[in-house]
Order: sequence, then C-alpha cells, then structure tokens
Amino acid sequence: MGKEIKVCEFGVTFHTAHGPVSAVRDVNTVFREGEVTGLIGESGSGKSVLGMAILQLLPANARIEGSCLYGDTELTALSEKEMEQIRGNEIALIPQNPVESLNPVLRIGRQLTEAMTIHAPGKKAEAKQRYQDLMSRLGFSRPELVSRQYSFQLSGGMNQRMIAVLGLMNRPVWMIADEPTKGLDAILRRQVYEVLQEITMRDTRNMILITHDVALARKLSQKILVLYQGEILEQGTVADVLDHPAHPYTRGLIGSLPKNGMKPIGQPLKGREDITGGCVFYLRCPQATKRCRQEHPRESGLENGRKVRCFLYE
Amino acid sequence: MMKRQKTENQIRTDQDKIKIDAGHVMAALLLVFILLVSLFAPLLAPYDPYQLDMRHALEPPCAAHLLGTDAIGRDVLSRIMYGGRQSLLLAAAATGLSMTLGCIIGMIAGYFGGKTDLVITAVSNVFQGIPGMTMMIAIAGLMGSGVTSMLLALVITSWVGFSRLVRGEVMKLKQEYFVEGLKGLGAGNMRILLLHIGPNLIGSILIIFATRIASAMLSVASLSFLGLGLQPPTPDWGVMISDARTHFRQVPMLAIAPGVMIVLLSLSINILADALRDRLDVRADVVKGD
Amino acid sequence: MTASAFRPLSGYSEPMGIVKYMGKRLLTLIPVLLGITIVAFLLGTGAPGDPVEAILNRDGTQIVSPEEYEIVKERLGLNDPIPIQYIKWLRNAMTGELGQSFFTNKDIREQMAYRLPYTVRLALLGLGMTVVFGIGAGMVMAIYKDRWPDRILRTITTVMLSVPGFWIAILMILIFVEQLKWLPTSGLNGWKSYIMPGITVSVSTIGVCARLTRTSVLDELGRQYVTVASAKGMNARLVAIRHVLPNALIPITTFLGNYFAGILGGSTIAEVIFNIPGIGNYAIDAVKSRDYFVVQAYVLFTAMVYVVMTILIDLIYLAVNPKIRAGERVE
Repeated sequence: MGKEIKVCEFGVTFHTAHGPVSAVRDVNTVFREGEVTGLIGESGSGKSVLGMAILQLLPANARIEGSCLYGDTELTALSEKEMEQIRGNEIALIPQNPVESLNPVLRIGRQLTEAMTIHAPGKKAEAKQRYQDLMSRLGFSRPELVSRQYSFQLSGGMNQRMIAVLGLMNRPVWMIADEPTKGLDAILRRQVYEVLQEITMRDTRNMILITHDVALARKLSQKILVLYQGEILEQGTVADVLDHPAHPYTRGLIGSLPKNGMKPIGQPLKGREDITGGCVFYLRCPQATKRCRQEHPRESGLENGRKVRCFLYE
Repeated sequence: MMKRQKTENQIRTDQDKIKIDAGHVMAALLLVFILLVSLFAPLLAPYDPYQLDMRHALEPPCAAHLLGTDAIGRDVLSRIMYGGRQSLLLAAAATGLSMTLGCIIGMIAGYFGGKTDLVITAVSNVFQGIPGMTMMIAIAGLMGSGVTSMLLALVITSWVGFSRLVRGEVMKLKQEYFVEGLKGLGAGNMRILLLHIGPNLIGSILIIFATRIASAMLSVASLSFLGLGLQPPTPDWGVMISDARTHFRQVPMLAIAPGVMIVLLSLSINILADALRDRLDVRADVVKGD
Repeated sequence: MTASAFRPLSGYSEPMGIVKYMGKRLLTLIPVLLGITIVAFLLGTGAPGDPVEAILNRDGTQIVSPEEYEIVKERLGLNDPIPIQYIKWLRNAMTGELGQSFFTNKDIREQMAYRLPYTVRLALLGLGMTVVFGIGAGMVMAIYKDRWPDRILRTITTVMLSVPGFWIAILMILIFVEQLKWLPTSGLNGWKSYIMPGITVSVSTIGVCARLTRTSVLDELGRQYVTVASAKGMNARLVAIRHVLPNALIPITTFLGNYFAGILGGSTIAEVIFNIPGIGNYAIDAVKSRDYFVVQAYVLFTAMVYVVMTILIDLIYLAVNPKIRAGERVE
C-alpha cells in the first residue's frame, strides 16, 4: 500500500488577539515515497509550521484547513487518540533545537525507551537494545554510559545525534527533520549531514527535510519545495529548482548563496506599498507588474511536474 | 537555566492581559467602598460602637440593628464600620515602614556587595529562619499587646521580603551599561541608586507592598484574635471575631460579619495586586512567609 | 561517522555533586542557627518587665524584700552581663536544659517533649495538604488554561489566600460541627479531628502553591521538549505527568520551605481554636503571663523544626533537580 503524504488546499491559521494570522495557505503537493523532499525558505516562511501541521503538533490557537492524506488515511479527520498512533510510529520527528527538545530532568535512556514503550508497552528490553544499536551506528562509542546522562551533560553534537536516535526508535515510515542544522557550526553541520544520509540509506528514504540550508537540501533531496510567506512559490526536482530556478524569489534565494556571490534578495522596492490580495513576493520582486499587485497568482505547471506560482509562467 | 522561548500561546496571553477586566473593576470599587466607609465611619455609623446596651444584647438583625447586637448589646453594623480603621492603618503603616527599611537595606546590600552584602544576607536569613507568625506572637506577647509592639512585630517580619527583591534587582541593574555610563559621567552612588535604579523598581515594589498590606491585615487580625493584638473594646474585626468566640454558635453573625469584611478587603487588594502584576508582566513570585 | 565532540564524561559524579551541594547548604545554616538562638534569647531577656518581680510578685500585691529579690535574681543568673547570660543559656539549651516555667514550675523540656509532636504532626499534615491540593489544583488550572476549571479554581485560590485561617476555622465549626454534626470540635481523637485543623493551617498556602504551580506548569508547557514528547505519540495527560510535572516541581520545591514556615506559624492559631496541646498553645498561655523561658523555648523549637524541615526540603530539591546532583551551576 502506498504511504505517500498528499496535502491539498492545506493551510494553517493562528487565532491571535489581533485576529487571525495565516501562517501557511493553499499548499498542494505530494511527498512521494522513496524521496527526500526539501522544504526550503527563510525563517518565518512557514516551513516548520507546515511540517508540524502534518503531525498536528501546533499551539492550541492554530487551526488547520484542507486535507492531508497519509496513504488512504485522512490525517485531519483523525481523533487525537488515533493521531497519537501515527506520531512517532508512522511519522516521526527529528525536532529543531536538540538541547531544548530533550527533557532536562529525565535521563536520556528513559526518554528513548519511552518513545517505543508508549506504542508497545512492555518492550523495555527491546527498546534498550534498539537505542544502543542506533547510538553505536550514529557514532556513540559508549551508549550504555551516555544513556544514563541528562541532556545538559552532553555536547550540542551529541544531543543532535540523540534526537535522531529518538526519531528512529520505532522504525517510522516517514521522517520529518525540522531545521536540523539551525545554529550549528560547519563541523556539526557536516555531522548532521552524515547522520541524515545514514538514515536515508539505511532506515527510511521517506523524508521531509525542513531547512533554510540550501546546500544541505541539495545534497539530500530529490524534490524541492520553496516556501515564502506561507505559500509554495515553486516546486520541482532538485536539478530543476536549484539549478534553473524559475520563480524570481527562488532565483534571488539561489543568488544569495555564498558560492553565487551572496547577492542579497532586494528589500522592499521603492514605490511598492503593502498590498493584500496580490502576489506575496510583490514587494520585493524585481519583475513585478501591475497584475502582480492586484491578482493572486496560481500555480502553473511546467515540464517534469514542476510548478511555479508566478504570472511569468502562465 | 535554559533560554525560554515565547511560544505563540504565550504571546497571545500577554496581549489578552491588556483588556480591562470586569473583576478588576469590581475589586477596585469594593476596595474604595470599604476605605470610604472606614474613613467616614463616624458620620455613617448609626450608633456609637462602644455604646453598650445590656437590655438589647445578642439581638438578631432587625430594623434598629441591621446586623444585630453583640453580647453586651453593641450595634454590630456600627462596629463593622469602625472595624477596619485601626488594623488597616496599622497594616499600612507597618508595611510602609517595612518597605522603607527593606528598600534601604536591600539597596545597600545589592549596590555595595561584598562584606556588607554578606552580613545583611546573613541577618535576613536569620529572620527568614523564624516563621513570621511565631516571631509576631513572641514580640507582641513579650512586649505587651499594643500598637507599638505590633508595629515592631510586623516590620521585623516583613522587611526581608522587600530587601530581597531590591537587592536582587539592584544587582541585576548594576550590570547594565547605563550604570557604567553614569559612573563615567561622575554620578555619585546615591544619585545612581535613587534616581536611576529606583524608578526601575517601583512596579515590583508596589506589588509586594499591596500583597504585604493584605497579609499584614490578616496578621493583625490573627494577633487580635489570639488576644495579643488590638484589645477589646476596640471596634476591630479581629477583636470582634475573638469576642464572638463564646457566642458564635448561637449568633453566627457575630463571627461571620467581621470575617467577611476581612476577606473582602484582602481579596480586593490581592486581586488588584494580581492585575498590577499582569499589567507590568512582573514575575514576582507569590511568596508568603507568614 | 565521526565520534568527535565528546565532552569528557569522567569528571562527572553524582554523589560528589550531592555532597558538595549539601555541604554548602549545611554550612550556610550554621550562622542562621546561631542567629536564631540569639534572637530567641534576646526576645526573652530584651522584653520589658522584670522576671524577678514577676516570679516573686505574681498577683502584684506582695512586698518583695531586697534580699529575696537578690536571691532570685542570682538564681536566674540575671546578674551576669548579657553575653555571659546568652552563652550559659545556649549551653543549657544545647543539652536540652530549658529551665522551668516561672509560673507552673513545670520543666519546660518535658512540656516541649510532650507538646512538640502535636505541632509537628499538624504542620506536616498542613504541608502534605498543601502539596497534594496545591499542586493538584495548579496542574488542573494549567492544563485547562482559560477554560472553566481554570477560571473557577483561580477564583477559589485567590479567595483562599485572602482568608484568615482562624475565620475559616470558625466557619468550619459552624458548618461541620454545629449544623451537620460531622466532626468533633476539639481534641485529637482519630483522623476526623485532624481535618479542620489541617485545613486551618494550610488554606492560604494551598492557594499560593496552586497559583505558583499553575505559572510554572504553564511555563513548562511552552517548552520544546513537550512538543517532542507529543511527537513520540504520547497523550497529553501522560506528557503533563511524566514530562511537565517533574520540571515544574523544581521551582515549586524552592518555595516549600516558605510554605512550611507559614503553616508552622499558623498552627498556633489552630492549636488554640481546636484545643490541641501543641507548643503554640503552650506559648500563648506563656505569653499572656510573660513566661519568658517558655517563649524562648517556643521560638527556639519552632525555628529548629523549621530549619530541620528546610534541610529535608533541600533533599527533595536534590531529588527533583538533576542539575544540582550533577554539580552544575544553577542560577
């Protein structure tokens, strides 16, 4: 049975004291099996919200709209109890901020064991065996010792690998890696890359990689989604999107990479005022027309299943 | 400690707090009402609160005595109206004194640090080492009951709360750049303390001040109840409840009415202190030593 | 795979962390203890009034001869300078020799030994109720934030900390003894007789503790590890109990000492109202007759109970906070 994740008309709105704030909207895409999908964008683009919305792990004031199919199961229609069966078991998370992701007053081993025993009570010994195997695979030479530590006693790199172990405990079908390289130095970024590569080669190729790190996305993914202000502006294969960016925003994003000369994406351009209803990139787009200001562009299909949300490709 | 991130949830509640709350308005009105009645008791009270009338002792509520009369025929309503005056004044005076003393000591400890701080901290630890009520019973008891000994008892047990807060805040603020800058400009210690560090502290101090007045009220009432505070025949809520101990089973109103007043007064103060705490977003933890 | 970035683990040892922390805490307690004895002593001797006069002239009608006066004064050691008096008193107090009551002539040590258990039992009951109901209510408020259980409990707890214990006691007597005739009014026969005194001593601390718990649980609920625990597939209630509570307990534990102080002080009132023969009741009788030695002993014993309790609470703190066990610096 196919276990792809298909989202349609998907959106997330936060209901705040200042009224509703739309964080993600009008997302239509398929996360295919056997593929790593890179979800890239600047911070605040809604990429983490999208990832967490699939798992339905959002603050209480968030509302999810649209549909999210996992295989044949409509996740948005599941009860909380049914959703608990999916989380960790079918779709697991490698969270951002490793140190804050681990409970500071519980020993590491207990937190790892628990990931398995909540789904399979009584399998304590198996859980222990499992995390020790995973830990040695991810480069811990003394799993027994480390599992008795608390998160604050481990280095950042160790915690980073630990949450990968955590995500892998139940041999999940899907893995969502949320900003795995955020705030890390070059050495640790390399280590994370190795860990993720190890996972895609030996554990599961079904992965959603949420990152602002275009280089990492290029190395690991087969498909790329580019998010900007809650909308997917461009999606397609790595080669298409990253080597031949179509959308003006993607072009700007690729152009701002260090190896491409770090040309910054333009700040809001002169004479452009804030608009509602038009293209989300209108303010900063060098190729915007009058139409972009008034009309909201829809996704246009190009070759290779590529889609771009821009009037230039209509 | 770990860095605390504000989640969307928390941001939302911060904004919610800005709305005016009906409960807070009620509390403010209640407080003003009680204060006004206490202030104008001589004009408002239908009877002299000391006036005995043995023929009408222990009467149930009636037209002449809306809340009835006590064991020696005094009008309960009149005594209730007078009943907050002394203890409120005492609580306010004691808390004001504690605040002054605590702020001065806390500022000295926090600003100068070193040995001064060590000695002050040691002394305040000693005072924290004796439960407030125990201390008050001992002082009020041994010095003889009376306003002076109660004032002393209250100040001795509550200055530490203020000095702790001020010391901590001053130590934090001392690290800030603007203090360095002021020193560079040749500002003296006194000047920096009073004019620059002081204003930053007013919010937190005000909150403690309010909660302390409420708890001082309760302490005064407790001491009076034990016979160690205000003495009969003073019309005072605590004294009234103490007086009622022999008759409250027959005439519950004698104990209930003054108790309700104490609760309403301290409740309104506590609610307002909470409102202030929310408004200022101060993390003044609810500490209660007595 | 790289096995680098290993922080040396060998420097870490939990027992050492515990010993270091407790050692430091006990060391800071010594000056506190000394200070408390000084305060207790001064409270006795510094008080106005003349104990010699008080002993010889109880009803204020006798004529005391100067010889008699001198004999009693010498016997009480009141001719010595104050510091010498203090040292003598301290030495006696440390051997448990607390002297005799001026009035009843009963040995204070015996009285204390008889009465202390009542007070301690009542205070521990109060602390237990504070922990159970305070933390319980706080958890419920946090989990149902801004919904009706939170609103109701928030109102109740605010009222609780505005209510004087003695008045609650009277209300309870009116309701449960007079009206419903459920509970005995005084004395200590069976568990039922502990209900009202227990509530009397803990009513306001339950309120304070519940509010603190609410804040600290809410703080924790916003943390990332909570989301991660949910991402494992754990249900919300289990996350609250297994993950959030242990963290929220850390700040709560630091205030348990304060709560205990409040409860211990408040127990005097409960003892008086419910006729419990504890040290508070003893002290109130003594205070009315200016029985200094008894009051000194009362202050000293209450403080000692409090200090011992502080140490025990520190041990709880150690148990709930692994950072201290590991010898990490904690702000």
